[in-house]
Amino acid sequence: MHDAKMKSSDSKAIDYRIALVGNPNVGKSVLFGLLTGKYVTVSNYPGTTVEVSRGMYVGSNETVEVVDTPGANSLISHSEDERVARDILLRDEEKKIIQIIDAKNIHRGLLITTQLAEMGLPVSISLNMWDETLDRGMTIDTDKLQKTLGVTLTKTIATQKYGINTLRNSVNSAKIPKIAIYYGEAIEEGIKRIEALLPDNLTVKERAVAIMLLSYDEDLEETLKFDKQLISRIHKVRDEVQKQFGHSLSYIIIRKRSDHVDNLLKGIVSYRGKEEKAGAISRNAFFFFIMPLVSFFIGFKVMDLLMFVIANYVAASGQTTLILKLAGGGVSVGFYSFYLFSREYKSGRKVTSILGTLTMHPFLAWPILLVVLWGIYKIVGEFGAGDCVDFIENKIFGSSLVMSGGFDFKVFIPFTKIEYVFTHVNFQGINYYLGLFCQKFMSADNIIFELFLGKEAGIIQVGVTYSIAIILPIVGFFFISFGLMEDSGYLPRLAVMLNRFFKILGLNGKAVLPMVLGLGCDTMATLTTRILDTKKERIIATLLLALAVPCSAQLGVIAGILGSVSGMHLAIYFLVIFSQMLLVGYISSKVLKGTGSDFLMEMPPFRRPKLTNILLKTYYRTKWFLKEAVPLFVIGTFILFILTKLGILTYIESAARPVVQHFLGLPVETTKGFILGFLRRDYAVVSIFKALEEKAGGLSIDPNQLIVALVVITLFVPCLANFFVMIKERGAKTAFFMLAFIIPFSFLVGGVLRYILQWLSI
Amino acid sequence: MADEIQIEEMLEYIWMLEEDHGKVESTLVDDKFGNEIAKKYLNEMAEKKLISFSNSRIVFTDNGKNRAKLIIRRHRIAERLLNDVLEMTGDEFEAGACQFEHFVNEEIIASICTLLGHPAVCPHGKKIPPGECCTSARRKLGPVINPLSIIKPGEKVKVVYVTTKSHASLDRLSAIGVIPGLELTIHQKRPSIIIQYGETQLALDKDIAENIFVRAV
Repeated sequence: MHDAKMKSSDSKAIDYRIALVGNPNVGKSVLFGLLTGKYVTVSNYPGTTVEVSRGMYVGSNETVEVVDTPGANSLISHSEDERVARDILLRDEEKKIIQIIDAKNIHRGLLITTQLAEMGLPVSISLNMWDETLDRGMTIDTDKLQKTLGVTLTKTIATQKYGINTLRNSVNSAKIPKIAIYYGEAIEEGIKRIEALLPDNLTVKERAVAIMLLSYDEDLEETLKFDKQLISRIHKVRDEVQKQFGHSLSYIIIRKRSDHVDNLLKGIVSYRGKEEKAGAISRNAFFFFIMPLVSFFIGFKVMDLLMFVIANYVAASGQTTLILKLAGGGVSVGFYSFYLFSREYKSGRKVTSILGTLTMHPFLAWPILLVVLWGIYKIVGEFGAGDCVDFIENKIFGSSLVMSGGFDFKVFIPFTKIEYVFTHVNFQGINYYLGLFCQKFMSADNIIFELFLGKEAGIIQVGVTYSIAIILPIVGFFFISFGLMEDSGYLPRLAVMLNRFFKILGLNGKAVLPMVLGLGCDTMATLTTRILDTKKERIIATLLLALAVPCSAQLGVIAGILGSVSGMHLAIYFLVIFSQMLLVGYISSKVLKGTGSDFLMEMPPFRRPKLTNILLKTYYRTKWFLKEAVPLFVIGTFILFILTKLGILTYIESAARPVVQHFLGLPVETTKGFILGFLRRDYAVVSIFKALEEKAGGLSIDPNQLIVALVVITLFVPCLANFFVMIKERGAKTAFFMLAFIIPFSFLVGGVLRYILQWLSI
Repeated sequence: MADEIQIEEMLEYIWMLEEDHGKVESTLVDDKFGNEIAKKYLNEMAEKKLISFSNSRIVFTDNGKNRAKLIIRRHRIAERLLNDVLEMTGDEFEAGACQFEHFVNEEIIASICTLLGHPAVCPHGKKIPPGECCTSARRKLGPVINPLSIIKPGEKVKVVYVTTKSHASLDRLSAIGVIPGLELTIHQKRPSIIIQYGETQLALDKDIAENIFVRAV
């Protein structure tokens, strides 16, 4: 998508560029969308923009390109994001800067302004999130600040398109901010000496580069392609200046800047005192009606899930369970209400900020998390992966040889059995009609027919059908729930809650984004491991995603099958997978070289998510995903087809027989399921389940066999699409190494589990 | 005045010899300061009843011992200050501590001692003789400066200094605004530490919080 646009913009001569610069999570991407009319993923999670987006400026006679940069707290690079942002500013181009500042965090924003001023770049400032600033009872004397800085300040609310036109107009009058910081004699001396050493071809002011070099930005030396001699001379100056201070120079420079900004803001920012109070009615409704109801449901649901797990072991009658669940609800109302009324009722805080605190509360947040996960499972696993997939796969696409039988077009009233059938739709499935059409020219056992419409590995019958019938509903619904979590600010709070857990795995709370996304689709999640700070963390995250995080397609089917057997077995399944994730994560964090990073994350405010943004985001993500995944599924199916035709599949089956039969104690027929797992994880589950069912004949399946099979298939190879992305992101060597570890490991765990279950005689 | 400093230096040295060997041979003092100077000042010290001689050994009088104790205490507290708070190293740090001990008074040392949380040993691992502030502190006050990681939720504190092993973490913190002088509130400690300042809520690891030193406000 980006490539195509880039080409078209390169063909025209660009008059100048506008770079959007700002701290993380201040709304750069939203503004980018508004200025260019081009969509980039917008989210309430810091660090989402990793790749740089470029687009053409709308509404100007000149040809102007807009560049969206990743959020940076400083233009001295500490992370990938900041490096990318800085490099854009250093590039040799005619450019103007729109700096976006989260007005309520103006101090931090102006720290970047000081650096832009030192670089000598023309800036226009957008004071974004003006509404939230007002809500917090903050006032900023923009006129006065404007005069001091000599730069236009525009109040904006990007999500409501407020102030955008003014901001557009202000770009023309962008000026270099009038900020000059004196860093003290010793450092100024050092700056002069380094300036003298610098080459003439710099794109920004020498002073800025000198200060960055004094701040230990060694990556910059690489970017500017300094030779060794120059670098050593610069280091000599730096070390001499450093000797005069107890703290690192970078720290002293930032403190000087910060003091300067403090002085700038004196008499400009003031507080009216209390924050704006939320409307009395909605506030009281929240405390007296909504929260009791919600907390009752939380308690009820937690008890419900608990009862489900231990159902087989407690001979409780329906009435006792109901009473227990109601009691759970009651207790939960008690706890939450006590907290809310004792701590929050009189505080006058906004409902969203109360929720923001509640969702990361040391105790009360956990039941909420459980219910959120359950909700996502209901939407994605049951409705998306169950009902919707069934319908699209069986009814819309159908089979090339068998009629689907059509479906009823009907309405029904939820929670009742009343339904009204309008008409029976006599549609037999796209594949059936395609099959019918092809059979005009060839017989169903023709190789061409099998290549495209064969039941085993036909490119259309299997590849295209699966990718669309599965991806559309599951991934679509998952992206909606994920978008909700992202935009409300729940995801970063989840990072806070799970940080300690991720620390054991050698990761930190930041990894929550790829891991949760992995529950939707491991392929996409593997791509987002880029947001992690170090290489080691990215490798661990990729490995764990491939090994232990079941994607929603798989999870839906597994939960469905195991849930119908017994809640206890479902719990064992989760326990095993979870423990393997812990084990492998822990070991790889010890074994792998490199360093992890510290958890340091800003909590964005809890916000009411905007439905349009979520839908738009879901649309773009799904579209992007289809584009990426469909070809991979087609290729995968083709490989499978060749394997089947050449008889290699049967060979692998017989080779794997001893392991499957003797070590795992499973019927040989399940082997095919494991091989299919490489193509589609959920299909493998179904295939294994069917094999076990056939083997059992009329009897019920041995649940232990089922667990062993499902654990192996979960840990077993990632799907082909995921594997390709692993190669792309981590390199072929690492990816194959991971595969070589995962396959034997999953069988080992399965075998050990089999014997443990036998021994415990569960 | 110069005499006083010289005497203090010698008292300090004698203390250290006694600490290490349990006894002080006067020849060791001669070796360190030179025969002439040692003779001159040791006699002066004996006159002032700070030390006495028994055979070839030097012994502190009670008076001398108390004086030496105060000097040692000043020196080692200074070392802690320069090393931990000002992060000086090497020669600079030793020289600084040596100058420091001669011109600060007991009151200032007591404040610094309290500020640092009444340290018991110097950076070299030697004992710091406890002062009055240390013994009374055990009864009344806790240390004034604490790592952020032990502050209770809801408390408002001011950042005094940040010690982070790697420059990168220090810079990341300072770029987000966590620098000395910042007033912040501990929002919560579990499951992760969250601090609030201005309109910013920041979640951080315990490892980082242990390196941020704060004072209650």
